[in-house]
Parts: sequence; structure tokens; C-alpha cells
Amino acid sequence: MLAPPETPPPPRPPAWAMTLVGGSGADIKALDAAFAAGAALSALDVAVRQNAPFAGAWRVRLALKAAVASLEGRAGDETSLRDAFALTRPGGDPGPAGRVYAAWRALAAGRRLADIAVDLGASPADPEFLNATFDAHARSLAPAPLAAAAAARAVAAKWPRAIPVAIAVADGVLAARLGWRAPLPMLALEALRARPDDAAWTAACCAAYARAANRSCDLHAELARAETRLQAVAPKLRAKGAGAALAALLDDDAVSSATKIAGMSDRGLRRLFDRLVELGAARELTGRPTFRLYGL
Amino acid sequence: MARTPSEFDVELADLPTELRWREWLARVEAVVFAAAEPVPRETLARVVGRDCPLDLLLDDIRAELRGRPYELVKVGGGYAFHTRARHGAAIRAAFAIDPDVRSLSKLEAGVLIAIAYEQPITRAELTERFGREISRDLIASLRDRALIAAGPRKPVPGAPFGYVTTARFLEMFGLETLGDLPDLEALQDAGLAQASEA
Repeated sequence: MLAPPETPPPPRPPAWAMTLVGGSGADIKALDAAFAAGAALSALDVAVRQNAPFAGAWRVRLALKAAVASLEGRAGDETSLRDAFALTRPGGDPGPAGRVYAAWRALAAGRRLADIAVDLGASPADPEFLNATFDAHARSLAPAPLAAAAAARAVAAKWPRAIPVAIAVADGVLAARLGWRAPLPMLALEALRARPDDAAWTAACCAAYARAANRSCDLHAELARAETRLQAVAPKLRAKGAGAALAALLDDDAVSSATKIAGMSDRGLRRLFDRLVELGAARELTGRPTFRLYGL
Repeated sequence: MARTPSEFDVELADLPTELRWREWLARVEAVVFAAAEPVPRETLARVVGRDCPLDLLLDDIRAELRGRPYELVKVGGGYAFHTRARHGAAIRAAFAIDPDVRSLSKLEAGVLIAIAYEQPITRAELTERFGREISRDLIASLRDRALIAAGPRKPVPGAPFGYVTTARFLEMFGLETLGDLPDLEALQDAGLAQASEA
């Protein structure tokens, strides 16, 4: 059964930093943006290091948002990406949109950049270039968001039609500079108003990281509340695999009743999830009577 | 008979019959050879005499080409030289043309392109789109050629597979990624593709 101590709320990016990057952001000054990014990322850093029980769900939810953003509305909103991923046989092809989602999930899980860059549009694949660029910027002494922006610029120069690759590398470099065990998909969450080859790119990047850090902290707090509700009802669940089922919900964005849980059948799991929904401790995400998916 | 230099002599009245025939033959052959598309009869008629029996002349050309690797065919409303079928493999090898490209029927190609643009898409959705039954056999034939594969299932009764294109598909059509597919909207705007009545 779950009984870890309640996760303390992480600090939130302070309002005096976020106001610097609010508004339309057309003329954000570079120093303001960098300052805001520093303040926001330091708050986010605390959240990352907590390694909360719901960290898996947090990372995958961010990956889902990043995937939707990087697809720019083509063939993918959260629901259809979620479905494509959940309804693909293991080892099967989730389709081009599903593969983009899989790539962002892999980034958030700490997989190697070279493996995911192809799905994000790096063609032809060039693992040496990716690794060399990543290493160079991850080891630089520049502040994390600046190193990330510079890495993105270098990668975008190589694949100008696949900006998501540059953004993923930026997230990777940022995480490396901050000492995180795996990147958080962040830069993709914010509509970037500059291109990597613009003069204003670095400032735009810093502002975007500040806002993305803020949103990530928001999501972290939301999931912390969901975890609390889940823990509250845990003692009421008597099914054998209930602990594993709850852990599955904390570890991913969406879980289907077909998930293999020791000691639980498909129908048993579905009954458990439906009970959790009744108790207000989980949500059914699709609104469908069949092929249902459950999450925090 | 005086001839102005600009006037093209088709009657060739000065030549003996045999030579005149040879000259007409040569002209028709040259015109068909030079044309990028099948040449209509009327165009050929412009280079031979009014009373020239064009069909006999074309028969003679066919006869002369016996044993050559190409032949005279009537296609697309006109005449053209086509290489003979048995040299197909050699030609495909010379230009590195994928053998499977030629063996797709028009409907198979249409279905393949629909899958490319709308993947993942189920067989039922394809049937609706084309307004005719897209058979399991057709899907199977595309799968056998490794051009499509089963992708995510659709969350509707029966959980049908959505089909997606493969890396082989990209290779065959010379695409690096699916992003290299021609922009459908741009094609439609240019009048090269029909917008579906969605």
C-alpha cells in the first residue's frame, strides 16, 4: 500500500519574476528574461529534486503537451495522441503523430537524444553531430538557459525544418546544466515568438523557459493534490493489485484497464479504476463507454 | 515547278515512287521519335502527301522495327515509340526504378496516398473517403509490399487498425520524411488536387 509522507509543496516562481515575462512579450529585454528564467528555474529545480511519487505522471503530461505543441495542430490534440499511444500494440507503429509523442516521452525519461531526434524530424539522422553539440553546450559554463538557447541555435541551423529537434536538445542541455536526471519537456510548451536564427532568440528562449517553468510548477501542484486524494482513498481498496494499480496511475498520463497488473484481470482493474473515479480520486480521460483511459 | 524556300514539300513529285516512300517513312519516324508525347494522325499527315496511305506507311514502320527493342504503338490518341515489355527489367535496373512502383493499380496508389496524408486511417474510413469498398485484399497487397503497416487501433467497436505508411514507402517515393509530402492545400489551390467534400 502507498504510505509515503505527503509531498511538501514546492516553491512557486515568484510573481516579481513572472511579471517580467508576462504580456505579449514582443520586446522583452534580454537581461529581464534571463533574470526571470533564473528565478523560475530555481523554483522548478526544487520540484524536480523532490522526485515525487507522481513524477512519472508529471513528466509524461508535460511530454504530451510538448507533443501537441510541436505538432502545431496537425493530426494531434491531447486526446488523439493519448489514444494513438495507448491503442498501439507494443512494438507497433503509433503513426507519425504517435511517434512524436513517444519521442517527447522518451526525452522526459532520459533516453538518448540521437534515438529520439529522428522521430522529431532530424533527417538524415546524424548522431555524432547531436552528441557533439549536446556535449559542447552541456559542458559550457554559461547559465543553463543561455547554454540551452545556444544549443538550439546550432541544431536548428542543421535542421531548419525540424525545429522540435532543436527544442528537444535545448531541454536536454538545460537539464544537464541543472543536474537533473532527465530533461523536462519545456521549451515546446511556450509559443516561441522568435526563431533560433533571430537576434532575439536568446531572450525569447529565456522568457519561454521562465513561463514554462511556471506552468510546470502549476502542473506539479495540481498533481500533488491529485496524489493526496488518491492516498486518501487507498485504504478503502481491498483488491489484491490495488497498490500496483495506484502506482501505475502515478507513473503515467493515462492507463488502460488492459495494463498487466499482477493479481488483477482486465475487468477487475476496470472496476477498480471506475471506483476511483466514483470516489473522485482519478479521472476517466476519454468520455467513452469503451476503450477507457484513466489518469490523475 | 518553282518552289519557294519557305514551302515545305510534302508531295515530293520530283522523286521516283520508291524514294518518295522512303522519304515519307523517314519523316514520320523522325516526328514520332522527336515528340515527347504521342503524335496524333493529323500531325503526321502534315509531313506526307495528300494521297499518302498513312496506315500502310505505319505498317511498314512496324515491320522495319521487328527485332528492334522498341515498337510503334497507338496510345493516348496518337503514335509513339515504346520500348518492348521484355526490356522493362533492364530499364528499371538502369535508372534504379523500384519494381514495385509500376505494379500499383490506380486505386492502390490512391489508397496509399490517402493513407500517407491521413495516417492513421482505418479501412472503413478509406471506404467512406473513396465512396467505394476498399477491400481487405487491397490493404493486404499494400501490406505485402511493406508500404503500409498496422498502426494504432481506433477506439470504436471492433477496434480496427489504423494504417500508417512505412520507411519503405518513404524510400520508394524518394522522401526523407513525411514532412516532404507535397502540401495538399498548396496542390489544391493550384488546381492539381481535388479538395474532398468533407
